[in-house]
Amino acid sequence: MSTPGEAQFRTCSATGLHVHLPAERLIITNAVAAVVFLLVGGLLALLIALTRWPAVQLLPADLFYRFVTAHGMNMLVFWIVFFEVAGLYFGGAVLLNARLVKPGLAWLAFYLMVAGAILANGVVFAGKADVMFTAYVPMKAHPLFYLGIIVFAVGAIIAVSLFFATVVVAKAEGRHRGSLPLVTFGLLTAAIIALFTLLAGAIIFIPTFLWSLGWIKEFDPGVYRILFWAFGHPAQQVNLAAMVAVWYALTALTTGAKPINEKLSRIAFLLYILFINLGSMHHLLVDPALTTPNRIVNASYFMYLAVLGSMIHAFSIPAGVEVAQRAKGYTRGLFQWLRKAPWGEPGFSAAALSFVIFGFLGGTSGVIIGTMQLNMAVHNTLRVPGHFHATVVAGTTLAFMGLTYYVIPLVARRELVGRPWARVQPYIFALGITLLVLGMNFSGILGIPRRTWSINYEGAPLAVRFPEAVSLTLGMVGIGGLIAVFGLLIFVGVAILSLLFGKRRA
Amino acid sequence: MAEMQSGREEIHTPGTLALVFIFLVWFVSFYFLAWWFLSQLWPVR
Repeated sequence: MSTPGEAQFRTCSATGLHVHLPAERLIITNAVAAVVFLLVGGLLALLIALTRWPAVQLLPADLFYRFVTAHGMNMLVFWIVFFEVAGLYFGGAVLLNARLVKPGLAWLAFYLMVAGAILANGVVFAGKADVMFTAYVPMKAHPLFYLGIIVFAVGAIIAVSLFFATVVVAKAEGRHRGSLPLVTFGLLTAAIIALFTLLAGAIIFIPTFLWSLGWIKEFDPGVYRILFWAFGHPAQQVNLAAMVAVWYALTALTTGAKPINEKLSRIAFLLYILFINLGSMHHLLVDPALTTPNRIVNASYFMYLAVLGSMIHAFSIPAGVEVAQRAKGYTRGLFQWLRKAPWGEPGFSAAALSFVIFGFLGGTSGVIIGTMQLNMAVHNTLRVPGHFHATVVAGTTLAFMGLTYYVIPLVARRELVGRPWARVQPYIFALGITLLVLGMNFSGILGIPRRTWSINYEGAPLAVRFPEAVSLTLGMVGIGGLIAVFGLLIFVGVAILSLLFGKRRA
Repeated sequence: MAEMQSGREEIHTPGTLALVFIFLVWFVSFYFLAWWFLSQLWPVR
């Protein structure tokens, strides 16, 4: 069936896919923006880690809280969402051999997201929004901070909507027949969660913006927290669904893995959509506004329905790799298939390390510290960032880094510059993050608080003493941060140099 | 692992099954460790 604008397609020499050229440009542009914000967030991470390490204590207190706010916004929102938008355009257009619907609107979305991110960053660095990523009321930032987030979110909503439209049009124009490929299906679930996440964000940030302007006089902090986490945790589930989709993609690209039961993998993605909002209760476990039975039922029971989805993927993904590897002849013993896996391919190593660290450290710690009783000893300690750095950084960010090593040659059509560096980068980054996460977890167990500039409490009316071991555990945080940022800089260097100077591919 | 209907290939993933059990042992151990830490911090009298 002929469709409008056939001349705007090229055929990928490696995969045979028909790539819509306007979509290609948008994928690259959004991915580049993502890497820029990753770099900003990463440099801030280094400064913060060197401040939490008492032997260094780099930043003064005011800059520490400012940079923690900026680090949270740039990493948790801007880097990840720009990359996910690039992923949506890839999964919706390229993987379906389809055209991206309304590229003009996609560019508008991009510019809105850039404007919002720059505005929010500008206000934070000007010292007008030292309120952390969560911006809990009654802490009040300058109105432009909230406006920046709202503008960014509007751009993201447009981008997500264009992805839905692209998938529908792909089917209508006959570009794609049958079920969606699993990777696109995973991205579709991420997009669905993103839509209600962004709408929840509007419900909380628009009144907060009006409150910061003085148009709303009072804002109940308990209500704010409940509404914020209706946005905040599903936002993480978007990252989870996207990351799992990337794992399927990377294992397929590097080993030829196929899901052993595609229907079950799709059901697992659906479980994320249905149950994640119930699990969000784990952010509210110490809130006085909610009853204990409400919290326990949601955080300790219903949450497991979303966790069940992850358990299915946790079996399906390595099983797919094992089947593919055994088919190649690696059948000796239990693990020859794993030993002989392409560990030198950055896409595979990034996916595998991301999978292991996310599973063993991130996911398990989240489920455990989300138990109401256990949370009483965990809340506001460094165990909480220890958990989410294992999920969002070692998990999602490392997986996205791995995918970038394929996006650059296949979509940007540039050979990688510094391939040997690309090969070791996932290992360096994974080592750094693991050390950081372990340091945070052990520090939190010893009582070290999160979001706190200094543990010396000079001038405090009551003496606070921590065990001597915290010098070691916080040192792990500092050194792990240094190694991780080194790994991040290698990634950014390889990505930027490849895009600028990489040999062009046909 | 799963024996499929005739005409379809058998899926054989003993390595993944082993990894999954390793993960399960880790999860259970981590969970009990967390409860033990809580008991040390907050004894019930």
